Amino acid sequence: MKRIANIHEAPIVLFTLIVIALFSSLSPDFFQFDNARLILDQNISSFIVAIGMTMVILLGGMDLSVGSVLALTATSVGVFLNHGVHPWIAALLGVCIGVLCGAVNGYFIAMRKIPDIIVTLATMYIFRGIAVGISGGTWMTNFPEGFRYFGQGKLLGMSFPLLVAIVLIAVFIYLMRFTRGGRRIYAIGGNGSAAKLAGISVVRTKFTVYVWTGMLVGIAAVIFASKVGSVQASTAGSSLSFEVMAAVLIGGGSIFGGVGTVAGTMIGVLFMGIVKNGLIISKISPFWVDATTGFLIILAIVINTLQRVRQNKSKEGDLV
Amino acid sequence: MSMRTIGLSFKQNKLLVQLLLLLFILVLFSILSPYFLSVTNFMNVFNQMVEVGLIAIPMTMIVISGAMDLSVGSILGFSAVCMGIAFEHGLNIWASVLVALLAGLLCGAVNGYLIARHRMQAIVVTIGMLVMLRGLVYVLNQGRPISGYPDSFYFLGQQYIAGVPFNAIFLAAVFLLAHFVMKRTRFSTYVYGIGNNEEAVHYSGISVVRTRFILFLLSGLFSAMAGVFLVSRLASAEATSGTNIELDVLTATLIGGTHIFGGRGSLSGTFIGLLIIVFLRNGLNLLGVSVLYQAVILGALLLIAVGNKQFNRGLSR
Repeated sequence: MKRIANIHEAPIVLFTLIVIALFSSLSPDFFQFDNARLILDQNISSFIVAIGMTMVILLGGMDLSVGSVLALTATSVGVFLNHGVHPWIAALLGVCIGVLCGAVNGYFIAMRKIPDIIVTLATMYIFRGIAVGISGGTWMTNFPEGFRYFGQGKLLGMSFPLLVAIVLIAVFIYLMRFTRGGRRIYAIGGNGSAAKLAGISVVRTKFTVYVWTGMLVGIAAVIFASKVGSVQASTAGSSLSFEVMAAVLIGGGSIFGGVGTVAGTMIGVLFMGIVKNGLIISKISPFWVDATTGFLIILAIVINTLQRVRQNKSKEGDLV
Repeated sequence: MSMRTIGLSFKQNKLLVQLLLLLFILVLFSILSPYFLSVTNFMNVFNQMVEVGLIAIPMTMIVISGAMDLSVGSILGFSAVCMGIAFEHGLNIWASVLVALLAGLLCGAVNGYLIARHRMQAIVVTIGMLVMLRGLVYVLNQGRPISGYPDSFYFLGQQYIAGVPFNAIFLAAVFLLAHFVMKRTRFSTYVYGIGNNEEAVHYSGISVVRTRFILFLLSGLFSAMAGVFLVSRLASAEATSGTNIELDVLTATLIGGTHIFGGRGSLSGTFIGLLIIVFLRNGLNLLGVSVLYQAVILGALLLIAVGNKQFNRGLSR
């Protein structure tokens, strides 16, 4: 029993179970196999983006621009497709654009040492503007049949995007736990100057993390575009960065960096998805969804701070 | 060689650079658009800059103290809609204005309580408030605009006194008052002190918590005031009012020479930053540039402003 309580993700799992029980009692449609599949299906993009956001937050940073990168990538993929580019090549180019956006963020944050919040706030508006410019202000639709595979196709009897997400999650859990690169991220987030003294290149690691994040957002954007079938540059993914950030914090990530796991974040995304789905299924006004997201962000930081206080109390004589 | 020295002295004198940038924008748009350089247009700009200007005052103080408030736009929208709803329920218009200001104060108090008292990260708390309040706005008024206020209320945002808009006079007065506060009072010393070395301020026996709390309270109050002026100017309280205003406010503050890590900055700088932003927006509007492209330009300007500061710091070391 004590061992279970010591697992980092225990509180959030418990929390999720409580919320599931709550919505199940509110609406008979909630606790159904089809609904569970729907929740997973709707949140594929969030799952993938959240992997990147976990790494960024582990570094003690923040990325507000992911929603705009998603919009920019999805729009450009739409433009490529409408110009008759082969779906697979268009998707690959889309991921490249995501990488490029990540590199822009990484350049300003890691090399020029401008605070991440300012850089990503600025690029949030810049990428969104470029996306609208490319699309000409209209909806991107009329994707060819072959492109639908990315969002709705099946492979080995499983939904293709879900398979992609599971593979990515597994790969990144492995990378973060067992490889040098992953441990470097934890080291820098935990104590930047100590990491630097230990010979870790902080600049390179930060830059790499933002590039990886860009790539993940690129993949998410391709799946998003294919799944939705029509993209509006000015609104696509507009609240994505806030939701994903909330998911990371709820999943046990610390905003001060160095604490958090990809697995915890995934439960966090699931939690957000369940809450959103449950609010709509139990026929509470859809206007409440945004308000709830904001409330959850604040709740997450409250829990975060409480955990920090408790940890500091156990370390005797440690001020702050 | 002389070019180099001129370049260096320019960088050392931030105010001069800002004024030159402002002059450059004014000259550029005067050439590009025939409508730009006229008294009517300038008064129009002054009329429109009040909302951003009012919020920029507490934002400058908060950035100097080493924090940031991203929830200002949502507080503006929230208090505007609160005012509209109070008025719809038959309250006197000035009592409704009071309701708006109280709503703003309440939001500021929540921010301040969490950030100052419990030392939570300002950015995350205010992002949470940003999302939550915007959601609450839609919950409160179901996304419809509220209008139909009495004529006496439009005095705030639409009246001109001797050819100058009333709200611009109000803004100038508030700026002067705030400038005095930031130059002459103990409070400002605390604010600069917290930005430079919070622990030293704490060990000097000054309540960091109270100072921080007051700053966020001010931010809420000024955002609410901006909301009232906006409703009076546009004659309707909409659910989207104040969206993205934090970009304008932050850019004005940071172009105005306030350091992003806190400890340095001034309201006079912010005022010039504000003029740069509003004239830039006005000029781009006159040229017919879309709002989203304006956001691209402002975002780039924000990056340049902060990036350049970084460069300056490297030089002075």
